[in-house]
Amino acid sequence: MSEKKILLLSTFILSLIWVILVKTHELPSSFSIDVRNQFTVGSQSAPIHMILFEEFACPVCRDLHKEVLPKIEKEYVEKNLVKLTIIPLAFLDDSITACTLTLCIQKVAPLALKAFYDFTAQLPYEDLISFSFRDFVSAFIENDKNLPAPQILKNLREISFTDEIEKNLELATKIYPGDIHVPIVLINGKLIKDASFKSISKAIHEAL
Amino acid sequence: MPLLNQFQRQFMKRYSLYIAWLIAATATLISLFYSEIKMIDPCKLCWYQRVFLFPIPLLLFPLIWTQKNDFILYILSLPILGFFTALYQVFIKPPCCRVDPINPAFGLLTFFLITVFLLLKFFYSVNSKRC
Repeated sequence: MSEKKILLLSTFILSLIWVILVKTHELPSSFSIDVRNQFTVGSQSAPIHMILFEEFACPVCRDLHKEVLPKIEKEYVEKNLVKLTIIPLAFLDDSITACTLTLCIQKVAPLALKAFYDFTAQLPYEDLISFSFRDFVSAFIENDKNLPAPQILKNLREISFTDEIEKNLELATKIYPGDIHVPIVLINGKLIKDASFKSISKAIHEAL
Repeated sequence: MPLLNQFQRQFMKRYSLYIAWLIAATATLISLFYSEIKMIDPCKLCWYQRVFLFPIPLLLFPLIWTQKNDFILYILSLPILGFFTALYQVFIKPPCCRVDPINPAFGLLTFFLITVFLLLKFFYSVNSKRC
């Protein structure tokens, strides 16, 4: 058999293998995420469930939280159309402190959690990655005087939240089995790849 | 004593460029499979290796088709640079990948084999011209 024929045949076989791989490994576009024990705001009877995976040290997540999320809350959550679940992630070393503290506040003072999320999103990036638990708590307590700071610090000393962080990461790897692309936005389980207000809003209207 | 016998030399002379192409094309597909289907982003060093790998099958295809073996030297820089990038990655592996599904040694082996087969083809072509 001549080289040309072998070359053409090999190209055909490789192309065929590629097509089979693409067809058999198509990522699902809809996901079922267990959100028990996760922080949720909005009416439980809301027709739309939005799940947001956030990484504290991710600038895109911070922008989404500062700019897109307030609009979503105003337009949909406050009108009982959407309930919002926020799942904190910490696969970057810089965000482990903020994520651990979030999980601790979720356990000790869940009512203060949304305010804490908003506070971390507004916090300068340099502070976010360099703050200790005590720095976070003392800076946050200026906004929320009712925060049980001693109880939170005690919990942080006594309990390791590593398992919860790992569990959240496992939930995210259901969507992205390889590298996790944050922020992850799911509308009724459907993955929204472009996490802009326009795309999220469009997905909400389609699901309504 | 020659490294290869007459049959092996003939085989290498005829098919080594094709084998190099097959290795490069398969490695390209595997790389694309992990980034585009498994959604695992390549790290910085993997990206450099992709830059050196992806053009090889595209450049070798017309070379095999036209049998212009003199041009092999122009392509040879790609697997050599890829080999050294892979070597750097194997020995000084930066913690830039959260997930590392492929051993970087596969990159090293791929570039090494491509280089060897290209060199074999080049030297046997040059020798046959001299004869």
